[in-house]
Amino acid sequence: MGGKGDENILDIEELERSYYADSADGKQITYSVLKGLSFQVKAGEFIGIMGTSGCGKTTLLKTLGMLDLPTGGNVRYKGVPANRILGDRLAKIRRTELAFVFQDFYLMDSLTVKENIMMPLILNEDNPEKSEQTAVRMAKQFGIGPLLNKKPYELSGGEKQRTAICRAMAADPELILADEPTGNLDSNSSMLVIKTLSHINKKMGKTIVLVTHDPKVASYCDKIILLKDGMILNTLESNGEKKEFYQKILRQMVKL
Amino acid sequence: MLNKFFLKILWSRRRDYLLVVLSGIFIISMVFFSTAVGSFMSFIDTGEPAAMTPLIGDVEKVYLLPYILLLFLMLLILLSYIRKRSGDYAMLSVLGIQTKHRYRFVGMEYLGIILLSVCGGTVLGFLEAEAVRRILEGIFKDVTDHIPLGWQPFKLTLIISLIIFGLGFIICDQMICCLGVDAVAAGGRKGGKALRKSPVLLLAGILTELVAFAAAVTYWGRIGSHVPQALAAGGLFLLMLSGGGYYLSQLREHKRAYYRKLLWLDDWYHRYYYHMNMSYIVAAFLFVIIFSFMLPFFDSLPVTQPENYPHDLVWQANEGDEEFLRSLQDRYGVQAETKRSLRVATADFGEHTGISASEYEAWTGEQIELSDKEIYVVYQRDREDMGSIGLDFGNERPRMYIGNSDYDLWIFEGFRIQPGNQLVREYKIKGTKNRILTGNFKTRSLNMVCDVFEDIIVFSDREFERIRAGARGADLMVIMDIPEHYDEVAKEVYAYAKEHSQVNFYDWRAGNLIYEGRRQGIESRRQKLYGASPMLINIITLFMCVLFVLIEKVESDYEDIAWKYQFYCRSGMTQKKRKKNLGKEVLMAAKVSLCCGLSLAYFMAGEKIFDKHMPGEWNLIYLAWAAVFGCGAAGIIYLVMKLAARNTCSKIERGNRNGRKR
Repeated sequence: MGGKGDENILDIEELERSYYADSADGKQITYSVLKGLSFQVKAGEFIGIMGTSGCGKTTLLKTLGMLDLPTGGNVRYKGVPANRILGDRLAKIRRTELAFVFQDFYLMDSLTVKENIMMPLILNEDNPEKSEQTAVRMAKQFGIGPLLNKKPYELSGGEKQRTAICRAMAADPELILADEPTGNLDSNSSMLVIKTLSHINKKMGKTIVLVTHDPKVASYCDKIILLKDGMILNTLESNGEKKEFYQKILRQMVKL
Repeated sequence: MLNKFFLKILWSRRRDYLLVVLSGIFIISMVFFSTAVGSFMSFIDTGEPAAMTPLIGDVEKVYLLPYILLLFLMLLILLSYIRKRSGDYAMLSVLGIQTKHRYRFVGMEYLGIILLSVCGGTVLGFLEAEAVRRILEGIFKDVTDHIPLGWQPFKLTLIISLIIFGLGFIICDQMICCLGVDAVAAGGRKGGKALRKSPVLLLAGILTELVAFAAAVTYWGRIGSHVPQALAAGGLFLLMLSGGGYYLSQLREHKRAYYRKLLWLDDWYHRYYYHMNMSYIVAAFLFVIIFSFMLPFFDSLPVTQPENYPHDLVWQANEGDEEFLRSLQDRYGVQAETKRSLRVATADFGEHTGISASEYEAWTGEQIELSDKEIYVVYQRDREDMGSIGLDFGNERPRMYIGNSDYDLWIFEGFRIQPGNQLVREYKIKGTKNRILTGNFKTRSLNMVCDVFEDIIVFSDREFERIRAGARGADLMVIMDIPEHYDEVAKEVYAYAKEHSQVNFYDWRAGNLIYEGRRQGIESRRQKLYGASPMLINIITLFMCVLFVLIEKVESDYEDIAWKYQFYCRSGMTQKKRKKNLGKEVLMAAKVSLCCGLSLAYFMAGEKIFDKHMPGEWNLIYLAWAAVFGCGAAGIIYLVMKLAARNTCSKIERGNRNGRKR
């Protein structure tokens, strides 16, 4: 394992997130999605978040990525409360330290694969030639080198997701947040994507938090947080044996 | 590099961008058109090209409402554009776009919209203005044979455009800041609530509409249209909401019809308030177009109405001026007719001509039986003012003073006339009539609070003789027709009147009571143009808003409709039936809006038309115009929505084909 340290990238303390809506009779209804979660994400970890639909996985990931703010408790990014990281400071963290990979890829159809990968570097005003070299290197590394001049709508699902991973990796971030990156892919493409993410974690030392439904994908993680009704049901740790860990996850999933 | 990327992203949205630019061009062309009309009118009035300050004053007074509506249209278009671009903006935010880059990106787009709109709008507006100039040169050929445009409309258009685009940007920016781009992008989609019926709402709606109908032809409807309009629009909301709720609830009980219609009505049951709110907005716009803009537009057409000024010159003179009149007849061949009269001041800051019943009979052939304390009022109004409030704000016993107006008549406290003033309710109005005898003249030159027309008040012969002796002011009305040497005659009359005749109390230049038919005719044409042109802009703008809201609704509902279409497709429904259902669903909101909005609008507009008591042929003309207008509007809406339905259908089918290919 590369790059693991004691430093916490994220500290989550008693995290709560509620949504509000109006009922048919005009009264306000509160939906508590996250109910007092506490855990840490250490540098170099590969954490998986699992749970049934609607248990708050995506909400948790959005809160960790500061796309959403908690309604109770705290999320600290490198010791700084997330609600104090705003404006340009937040934008800089998103450009240089944090990256997202989404289930729906969110690639820009107007740009080529190469330009999509270059986007974070261009937004960071990096040297265009160097950015281009980085994009080409990334694409080759993740097996999409021949696709650089294609548009996203010409790619398969797996190719799109690998492009999205290249884009996430382009600015060399410390933390990658992946929201069901294999959700829209077939099993072969899923394996290719999760192996890519595992490679990024193990060989490049990046910290990854991954939301998934798939126990096979989850078995590549070091640690699994199982959520049920907005609370942590259990935390599972891998001993390095994927098959064993996979069985362990399956046994726990019955309880969900 | 960054700019190249931004431009590339923008290029992929070129169709949406083009729509915004085309809308901007339309808006700016309307602004240029209005400033050009203002400039032309100023030239007709003064004989000189318009100066900036008076032009701003004129344009602001006449076109403020159209500009507000244009701003509203601009906002609708910008918010729709933001909704379409929200995905790009959100993605760039997640990738950590810097504030300066975001502003550069948005600013570059917005600046492009402004530049293209202002340039294109000015060119289009210039072409429109050129067409109008030719029409005006025809209408005012007795005043001038060439009306120059000048540079002021260009400058003023630039100023107004910057204000409209500046306000548009600030409002959109604030909405995005306060609500977040997700909320703005979501539009009305999240506001959907399930169906609920309420008898209280239904009753309140019916009552509000009844009050609106009553208000339209009584005091509030006669002094303006805002109160009945607001009541009717409020009532329409309640009626549509509750009436629609009742219809859908009832339908659910008739199983066969319910299950047949459920294929395109399901979302109305699911998100009733959202659909009904959108339909209401369109219905209310249609109502406002017809009730508040179409009627005044018809009133102002044709802009030349010579029947309102049948004589060359009307002069409030005095007995003893006959010798001067004879000299005019001898020297210039003037045909002068005199009427023994008196001046009557009313508490609504008006001054009118009083004549005896026998004089009126000799003049018009109409016999009127009046007792001593009864009067008969002949309102000399053009179509625009017919059906508006009567003498002394519509009182049956108006506060009157026999004699001309002066400072000593009113005792005020605030705006209320207090007891002790000289205006008393001594006479009762026995009857009224709309008829132009001397002309559609206004007493006042100041245009301060409201214009009061110079009406004819008929007294019984005995009462007329009794009061005339003590009445101050002019006592002889002279009606002249001047076949030749008009300018010389007018010059002599003005010079003579300055020495011998009553001064107009309401004229800040202390002029005499001389009304020139020709001059008033030109002024009237100018006023009618100032009445018609903003109404035309209002109608076009609000109609564009109607189409825009409906198309936006189709776009906003696209995902749901597409999903349903796919579902029907996979459930084995034939393509013909799928298209039919989709068409019905897309057209539903337009149909509801047209039925509710047009019905109410025509009911209220018909009520107003008949309340004007115009000659029969004008009633028919108004109704025919209204019918053509309504059918045209409904036809365009129907056609556009049919096209939208067809486009939605093709888009889904195209998606299916592409999906299969992949």
